[in-house]
Amino acid sequence: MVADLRVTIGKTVFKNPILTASGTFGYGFEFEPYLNLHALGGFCTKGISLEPRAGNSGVRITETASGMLNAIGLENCGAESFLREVLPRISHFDTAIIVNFYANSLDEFVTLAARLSTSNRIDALEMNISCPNVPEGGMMFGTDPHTVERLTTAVRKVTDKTLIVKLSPNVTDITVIARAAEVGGADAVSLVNTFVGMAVDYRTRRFILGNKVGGLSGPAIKPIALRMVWQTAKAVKIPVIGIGGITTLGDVLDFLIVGARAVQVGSANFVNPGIAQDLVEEIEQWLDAHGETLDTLIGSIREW
Amino acid sequence: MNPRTQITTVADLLFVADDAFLIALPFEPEPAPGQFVMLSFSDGRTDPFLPRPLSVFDWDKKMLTLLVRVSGRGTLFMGRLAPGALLRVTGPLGSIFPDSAGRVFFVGGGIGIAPLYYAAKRSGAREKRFIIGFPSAARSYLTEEYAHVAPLDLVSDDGSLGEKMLPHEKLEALVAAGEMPDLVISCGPEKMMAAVHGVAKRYDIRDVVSLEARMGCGIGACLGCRIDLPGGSVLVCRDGAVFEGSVFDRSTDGG
Repeated sequence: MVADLRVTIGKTVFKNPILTASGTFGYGFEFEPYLNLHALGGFCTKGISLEPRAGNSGVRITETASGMLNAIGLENCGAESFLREVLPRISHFDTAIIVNFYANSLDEFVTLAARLSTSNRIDALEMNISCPNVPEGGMMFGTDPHTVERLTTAVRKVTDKTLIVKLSPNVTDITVIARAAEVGGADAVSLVNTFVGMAVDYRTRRFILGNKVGGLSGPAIKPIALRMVWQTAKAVKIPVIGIGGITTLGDVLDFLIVGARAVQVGSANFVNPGIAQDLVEEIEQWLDAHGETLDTLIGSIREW
Repeated sequence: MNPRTQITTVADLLFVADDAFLIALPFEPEPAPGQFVMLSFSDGRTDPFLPRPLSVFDWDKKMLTLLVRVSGRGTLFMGRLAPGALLRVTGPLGSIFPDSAGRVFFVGGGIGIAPLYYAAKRSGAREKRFIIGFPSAARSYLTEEYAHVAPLDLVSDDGSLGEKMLPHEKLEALVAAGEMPDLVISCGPEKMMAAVHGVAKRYDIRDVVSLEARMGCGIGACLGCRIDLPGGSVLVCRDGAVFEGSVFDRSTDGG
């Protein structure tokens, strides 16, 4: 018997719990040669802003131990171009499209969410209040619980879409932020975004990245992400989407048993652009082979 | 199996200098001259993590050969692999070197010679010529192999190999002597390619360059390889890595 892999988050029924993370999957179509997008539960687009953004100059990416730092700076085509030119190129993919979006102020977040909500093809919105690589302090929105609640409440009023709030791990207690998003009306929280880090070269005495600091991702962050997902899943009633260094089926299962309803594969897409589909096939086989379902798996960690 | 990203094994690995090696991998489909692949470990290790962009040195009888310079931890560990080791190859990727039926000069510096071997081998040009520069004779490699494909002019920084001059100076000397190419293909340090383009432009010769950048994915998704050039900003993996030499010209619109 083939296991039922469907998961419901907000109004969206995802085919399976394997999604891809914003910023690691382009606009989706870049991956068409490497996997069947319709096999995925869904994918998150690059962060979309109201106006186009050129991103940061200088070195934007560097490898670190079992991971990488990036400081792209939310380069994207802007909302109008996304709706007019990009969305028609990805609309035919039989999978959930989650549009990650970012703004510089509460008003702009609201305007942007309302604009994106006019498209029937967009299944869910992921509000990025946690980018460490933009000068306006994108992360600032995500580190103060009052701001998060106010922002989520305001955006909730203008969209019927499934609303996911993507949380920054660069906080003292992520569960406080998660609860603020829940109170504000979020359908789910996704965590974690990248950790602020940096790399320098002692020989040249220079920063490696043009932006000096960047976001750390990859297997190196998985233990911290896993801990945060576990804490958050216990603190909120809304679904939690786990993100952080997933490269194997074992990583996916780890996030699910600590309470994640779904996961997002991030930097691993750069190493193997077909990995998300591989993981869908692997989890299906694993559940069948072990006579388990997602229900028996999710949150099944033994606390005693 | 998806042929666009696949796991293959090391067939052979040979050091040709202290800091450069050839690595051979069974691989299809056939790449075009100028294209590159993303190569990463596929044995379960997560460190080094990211794939490395490497241009095609050769492809023959379904065997891909890459010429790799040891320039960091990733290439250091790759150089230590034994035959049979598992690697992931994504590609072939990127734009293609143009060709000409006439006379083509292939100008390379250091590890930048890597894509020129396959390009010259596959070129249908009536006359082909390499102009290759190394820091010194001691730090040169594969010169005999290149000489088998086309006549080879060697230059070096210290004069211990061929003439003591820079590759673009040799190009200019040849052109000034009446050896006018129809196309110049160059790959090497950015300064070298910019200088080669300067010569080509002065003599109204078409030239293309193969750029290098740190890459995360190689497929246009991570946007990590955007670099700013006088001619504007380019995403090396998606827009290149082969570009017209005019990317080194200051753009006329002031941007």
